[in-house]
Formats: sequence, C-alpha cells, structure tokens
Amino acid sequence: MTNQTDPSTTYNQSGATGEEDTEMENQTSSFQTSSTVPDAPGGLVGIAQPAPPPMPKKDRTLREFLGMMEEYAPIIPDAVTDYYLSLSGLNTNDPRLKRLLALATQKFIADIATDAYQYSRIRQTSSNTGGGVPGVGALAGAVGGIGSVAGGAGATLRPTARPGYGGGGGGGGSAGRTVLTMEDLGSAVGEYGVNTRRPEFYR
Amino acid sequence: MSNDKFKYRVEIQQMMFVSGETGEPSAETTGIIEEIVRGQVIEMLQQCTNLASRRGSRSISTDDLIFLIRHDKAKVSRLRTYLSWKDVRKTAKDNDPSGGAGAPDPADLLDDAAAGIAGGTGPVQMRQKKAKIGLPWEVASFFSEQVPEREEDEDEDEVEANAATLQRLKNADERTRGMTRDEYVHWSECRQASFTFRKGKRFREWAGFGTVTDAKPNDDIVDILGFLTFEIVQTLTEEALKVKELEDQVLLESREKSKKRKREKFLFHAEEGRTPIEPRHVEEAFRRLQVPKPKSRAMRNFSGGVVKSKLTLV
Repeated sequence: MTNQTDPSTTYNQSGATGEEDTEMENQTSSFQTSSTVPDAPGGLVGIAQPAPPPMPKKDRTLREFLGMMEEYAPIIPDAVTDYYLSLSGLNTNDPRLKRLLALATQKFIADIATDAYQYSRIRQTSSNTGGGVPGVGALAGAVGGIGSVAGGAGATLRPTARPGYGGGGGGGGSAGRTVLTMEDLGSAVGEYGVNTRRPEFYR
Repeated sequence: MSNDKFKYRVEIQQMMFVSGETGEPSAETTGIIEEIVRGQVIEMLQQCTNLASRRGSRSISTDDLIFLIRHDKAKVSRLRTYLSWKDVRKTAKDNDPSGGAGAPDPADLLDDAAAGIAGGTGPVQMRQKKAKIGLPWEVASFFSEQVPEREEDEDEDEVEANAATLQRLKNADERTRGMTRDEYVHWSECRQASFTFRKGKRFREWAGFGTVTDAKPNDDIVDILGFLTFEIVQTLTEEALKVKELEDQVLLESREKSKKRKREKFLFHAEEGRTPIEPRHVEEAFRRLQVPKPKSRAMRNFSGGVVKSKLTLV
C-alpha cells in the first residue's frame, strides 16, 4: 500500500512541471489515433484534426505521449478506471496516469478482439466451396488469392467445434454476420497465455 | 551419431555460411540445428492442421501457414515478396517456353525479392505491386472495395518491415565486397541452399508429411516451408553468433587477466583462429528465441513460474 502511493506523488510533481510542455504539445500535434489504438472503433471522433506527425512513432518520449493523453479520453470511462484502481489499492490524482492505464487496457482488449476476429476470418475463408456462408464467401473469394488454391480439396469434413472449447461458430445460420464465438476467443486468448479449455472430464 | 539421421548437413552448413558463420561448424552443430528446424516445421504443420480442421478442411492451405507468422510483419512481407516473384517467374516461363529451364530457382527468387525491396523501379516491379496477395485477416480484406494505391505508399509499417531485409542485404554486400571470383561463386552456390528445392520427396519424409498432416501438400506450401526453414536457420545462426561473441569476449578478458603474469605478447604472437559455432551456442540461441514474449505473460500479471507453453515459432 505504502509503496504504491509513492509513484502517485512523484507523478503529481512531474505533472506540475510538465504542464507547459503539454500545452505546447497540444498546439503542435494532435493525438494520432492510429499510432496507439489501431482497432478502436469509436470514441475518437472529436480529435480527428489532420496534423502532420512531425516524427515517427518510436521517437516520442513518454512526456510527449502523456501530453497527448491529456486531451484524449479512452473508451473506458474515468469513473470505471477510478473504481478499479481504488479496488486494487492505487490512489492517484494524476488523470494522465489513469488514462494511460485505461488506454493500455483498451489496447489489450482490442488486440484480443482483433486476434479473435482474425481466427474467425481464417476459419471462414475458403470453406465457401460448399456454399456455406454466402456473404463472407463472396468477400473471401474476392480477396482469397493464394488461399483458394488448396481450398477445394477437403470440403467434405464439416466444420465442427473444437473439443474443449465452448460453442463453435458453425457459421451456417447467420449469413454475413460475424459472431464472436468462444472457439475463436479461446484460440486468441491462448496466445496470451490463458487457457480457456474445459477440463478433460467435461468433454 | 549416425550419419543417416541427419540429412541436411551440407545445406545447413551453406545456410550458416550465408548467415555469417565463416568457420566450419561441426556435425553436432548442424545436427542440433536440423532437429530444431524439424521441430519447428512439425509444430507449424500441426498448428496448420488444427486451423484447417477448424475450417472443415482436411488439407492445409497456404493461408494457414502465413497465418501462423502473421504477427511478424517483416517476415510476412518478405514471404509475400518471395511468393509474388515466384508468380512472376511462373508466368514469365509460361509465356516464354524456350527460356525457362526448369522450376524457378529459390535463391534467385530471394535475390529478386531483395532487389525489389531495395528500390529497383522497373516496370515488372510496378506491375507486381498491383498484384499483391490479399490475406483474409488483414484489414484491407474486410471490405469489398480496395483502397486505391497511392504513389508514395511507403508507409511506416512497410519501411519497418523492410529494414531488417535491407540490413541483411547490406551485411551480405559487405561480406561479398572483398571476395575473389572463386569465393563469390562459392557464396552464390551457398545462397541457393534450400531444404526443399528439388528435394521435395526427401523434405516430405523428413518433416513427417503423412503422419503429421496431409501426405500431399501442394507445391506452394513446400515452397513456403522452404523459405521459412531458411529463415529459421538464419535467425538461429545470427543469434548463436551473438551468443558466441559474448562468450568470446568474456573469455578474452579473463585470459588477458591471467596471461599477464604468465607470458608476454610478442609482436608476431600467433592469434587463435576463429572457432565455429558449437552446439551450446545454438542451444543458448534457441533458448533466447523461446523466451515467452511479454504479451503472453500480461494476463498472468507478469508473474513468473513454469508455464507449459507451446513451442514458439522462430
């Protein structure tokens, strides 16, 4: 508890000195949405000023980045961030730190969602030879490219849910609509070191 | 160690030579590399088969294979360039039946791909840019309309992806600069080393096609695997060289300390030649490459402990 309050005070001190910098940053560059949150669908509407990025992403310092955070609100509301931070024992008054944490969380979730979607895409492409999913099939056929080479051979096997995961998206019923299934999410989250498989005896 | 067990000693030696190892590695070293590569190939095939069975297909497709390395943007970009040049060769050969002498040469393809990245702006390359291979999980493929290509489409990702390739090219250039003609011929021979090229049958037996996955993969898959296996050997060799360099440095320092008392250095003191990479260097390099990424530890609050994890693809 005690050592967790220390960083908050130091951040406050640095925050007081950093004010001038952040104001200067606000004038020169707006927040570049694509650099940090590639997959965030909303919440970035009000800050779409076309500002030429003066330097590549990697060369930004933490201070500049925090300055940008000042005017950017992550999707996760501040109150929610506050609640969970206080729940885990972090007490800070620096909004930038909170928002940084919220942004990291958002990025994390977005990454997992993207991965799950990618798994869903690879599951649905080139299985359209059997005529299962018309909407996705047409799309995949347009862009399938090299994938369509080997697709046609083994279409006799039905797409089934993998054992051990929850419901497998058969993809048959809802045409063109992608549903986040436990199967895709399980595979995606598996890359993050989380095992969502049921224990063996539940299969 | 029987000689029959390892089938790719020469190829691996040549690949290591291209990747920067000048000495002659022992049979143990190439053997251990071969085993690592085989493990990686089998792991790739297994994961591909899983993906394919999720899709309801029995045979794996090239997309499955590329899907596995999708997080490594640089590698995907290299692979795509490689594949697109292969297509160019194929169509060129079809159009001009007298010119083609057999299948396209993988080493030439690598060179061509590299040349394409390095900024040759011939008409062929411009055409090639248009015919990019779409991958189903990329954002561009979510929409039926394609974004029109801009003239200066060297975006940051691409630059980043090409940086590693350019660095490798630069290293190769520096190494070949001082070579004599014979040495260069040897070098270019070594560059053609491949696990798969003209050894399709041997490769299939070696990698366990038929037991691990479908017995008859198409040629594209074998080609991609040939490309990836070369990349694995290259990465391993580069990492092992780093390990060895560190070890040599430590050794040199400790020796200098102890040597001062024993004997002095003469003007024509015989320097010991470079020693080749040894199995322990390869093992250490492999360990380093297998260290779990922070991404996979985030959900566990970065705690330590033993995690039973899958084999990380190099």
